[in-house]
Amino acid sequence: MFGIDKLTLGLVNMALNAASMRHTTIANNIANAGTEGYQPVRVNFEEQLGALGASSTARISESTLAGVRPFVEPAPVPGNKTGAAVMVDMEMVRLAQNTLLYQAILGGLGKKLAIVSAAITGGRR
Amino acid sequence: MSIDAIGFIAPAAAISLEPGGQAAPATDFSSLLARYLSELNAQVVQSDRQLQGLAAGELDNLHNVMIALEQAKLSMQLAVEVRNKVLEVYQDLLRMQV
Amino acid sequence: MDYATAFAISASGMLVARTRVDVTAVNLANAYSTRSADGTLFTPLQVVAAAKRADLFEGMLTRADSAFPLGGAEVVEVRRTNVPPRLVFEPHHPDADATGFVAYPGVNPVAEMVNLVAATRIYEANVAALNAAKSMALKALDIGKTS
Repeated sequence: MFGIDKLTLGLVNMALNAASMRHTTIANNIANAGTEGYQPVRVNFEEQLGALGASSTARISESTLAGVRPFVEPAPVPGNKTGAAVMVDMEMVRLAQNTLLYQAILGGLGKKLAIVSAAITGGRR
Repeated sequence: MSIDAIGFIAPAAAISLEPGGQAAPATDFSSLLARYLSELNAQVVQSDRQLQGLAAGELDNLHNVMIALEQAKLSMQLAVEVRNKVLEVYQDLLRMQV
Repeated sequence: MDYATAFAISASGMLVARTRVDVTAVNLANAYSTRSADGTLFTPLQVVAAAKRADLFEGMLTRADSAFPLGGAEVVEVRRTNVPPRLVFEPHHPDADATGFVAYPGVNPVAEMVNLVAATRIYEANVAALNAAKSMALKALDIGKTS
């Protein structure tokens, strides 16, 4: 996709994949809210970005981004309990936040594409 | 019969685009254009960086990101329209019979 | 947006929650059943659910979440519990035993109502997850539409 910086495109793509994966984990946690011995799961993505040492994205580069990949992992449980019950209210909060993030990134990407489109189509022509 | 040079038309005063009517530092059209284009480029790059921040999960300034992107889009559309108008004027000039 | 997987997971969650509601309804309806078709006394039923592993197809083995194939939940069994019956002294009841006590199923209405409310909330939460997946997928379809 020309016209859009490769780093931005790669980051946006990965973030959308991570949000999609995160929705699957949240839906799975909610579906297993009453299952005994179920281990809640979550997605590890933004933590990897934070570990790159980038508090502002100006320090993320294409090479460091290549080593980042979102994956599913067991959710860390507070305290020493393992297989704690799913907290449905917290999962609902995460659901709302993830949905908003996904839609916001898509909206931003759409606007970026509109910029390129405005340059290409040249207005009316 | 002498043909006087057209001298009674005073040289046009420097046309300034500043709202206050003061003479702008860059009265040359090409430098004005260059400055405008670099502003547009800065806007696009800035909106790019903000979109990266959004993708990294920073949702706290969502409105800023959307406004910056929309501004960049409008600036691009304005630049394209200006280009179209300039081309129109140029073609009109070409068509003028001398 | 992998909406197919998301829909399947939420649908499985809704099915489990609905099963819980149905089982609660059966328990409450039989709170005063002193006899049953096969002669034994009705004991309260209990739903046992487990996390379902999604089927791993060929191309999915390299996916980042293949270590956790998320398939939602499923009902493993609906089994009878061993709750002791509630004995009530009614000597004139046709099902009274030799000492005049009638054995009613040990259904605890309070516990059943708590289960009912919890299952209903979980059902609604699964519906909310389904709607969120749908709105995300629809938003993805809007890429390219002039805004």
